[in-house]
Amino acid sequence: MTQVNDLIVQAQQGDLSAFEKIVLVFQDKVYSHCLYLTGNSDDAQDLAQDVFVQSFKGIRSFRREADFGTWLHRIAVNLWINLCRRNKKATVISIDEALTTSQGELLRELAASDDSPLEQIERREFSGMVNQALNRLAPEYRTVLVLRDMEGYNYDEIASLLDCSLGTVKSRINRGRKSLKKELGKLL
Amino acid sequence: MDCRHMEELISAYVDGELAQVDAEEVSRHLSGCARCQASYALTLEISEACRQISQTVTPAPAEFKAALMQRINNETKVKPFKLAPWLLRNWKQAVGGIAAGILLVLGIYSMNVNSIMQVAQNPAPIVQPNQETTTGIQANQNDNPAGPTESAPETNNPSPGEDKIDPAPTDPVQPLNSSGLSSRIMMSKERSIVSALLQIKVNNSADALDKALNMAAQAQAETQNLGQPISQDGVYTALKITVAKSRAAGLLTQLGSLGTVINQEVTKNDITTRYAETLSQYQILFIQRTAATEANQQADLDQSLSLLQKQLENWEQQAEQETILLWIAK
Repeated sequence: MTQVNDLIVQAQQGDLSAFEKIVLVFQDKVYSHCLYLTGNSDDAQDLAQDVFVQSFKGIRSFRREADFGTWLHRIAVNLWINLCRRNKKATVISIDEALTTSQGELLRELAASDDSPLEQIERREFSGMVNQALNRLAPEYRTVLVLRDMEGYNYDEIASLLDCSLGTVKSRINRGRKSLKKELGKLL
Repeated sequence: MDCRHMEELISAYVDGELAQVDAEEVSRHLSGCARCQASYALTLEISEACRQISQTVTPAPAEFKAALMQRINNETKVKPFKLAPWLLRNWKQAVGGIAAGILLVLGIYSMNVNSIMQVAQNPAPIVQPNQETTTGIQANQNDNPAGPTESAPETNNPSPGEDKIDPAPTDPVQPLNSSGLSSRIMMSKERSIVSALLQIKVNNSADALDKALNMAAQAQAETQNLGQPISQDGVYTALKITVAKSRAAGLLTQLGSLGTVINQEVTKNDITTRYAETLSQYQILFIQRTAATEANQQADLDQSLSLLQKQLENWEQQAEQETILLWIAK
């Protein structure tokens, strides 16, 4: 992390090559995060680019006591929410297959667990289906579920991020989960 | 509480977002309802699956970093000055438009000054370019019962050679002198602003630019490199040259010899009438200024006079010079 901090200091002084090294360190994490948010690889690439461009422009304002990865994470969420707001009227529902990208089939390494190999396979399959079902949700439901279940934000934080009431967040998460269960039912 | 209502609460219960009382009620219901238990279990399972998905790192596409750095480079690079094709076709009108804009701003600014509004409400005397100073003064006497004005400028003018107007007069406001005014009227003559566009094609634009700069220096001209505007015909090297009118024709011929002349246009903008009108306005305000007794009125008038004087001086300067826009194409 010391090395990353040094790179950040250099990038803050305008060193583009240092920023390029930072991109190398964080690009997979940021891209993955954007993939969860957008649900498809093309939009994820665009969003991830926006995240890094934004962070490059604002890197001087980054205070090094915070974690740089978390900072990028927040930028991604904010940009995604702004994008959703702009495209609010275009109720696009992603139908991408969750486990494929322009690079081909994704290799998903699920977190190690004490489950038996059979249980692990089942769990992996189930996660794949949840991901597909998520991609079929309307953006407003998908966003709150990603923020809650993937990003771990609490309801207050989500309300603040989305600039809406706590009641709206509660209701959207509840409806989002209902829709998700419905979509899962079609896949099972 | 029935199962339908419970369904609404399970989601928040899983997230630990229910009030204590509600959470206890859900807990009690779940212990005795198999259907709601199944719903609760599925919700938990989905949340867990989402968490697992979020821990998965998907490699960014191979070309991601290169594309990103290219974009950052493009966005942070200073973009070359790009002229729209219509601007290239209509550069004369554009220059005229800019001049008109400046005049308009100047006019609007002046119109905000009360004193000018007063003048505008009175019929302004028509001042011919070759009229003597006294004409304007006499014409204004009827409108200005404050007292004799023609002698005031001279009595308050200990240094006739000084013709500058203080744009921001300090307290107490010093009366202005009239020597500048007199000389301007005496100087009235035909005035025009001349500009030329010369487009040439050369083999080596850097070399041609050097030679053009040398030629301009020999003609005692001022130069300004406008960079490399992009037109519909490609990239040019653009140089703005301001030269005395007497040397302009010679310099233009020399510059033309640097390569093949693609296009040469000379535009003459006659400003004689506008100059005379502005001078007339200046005269009237000048007389009002000599009669003004209140400090704020004096300050307003001084400011207006300063602006008008600057405009007149600019026109005089421009009328003595010619602007050449040299476009060097490869």
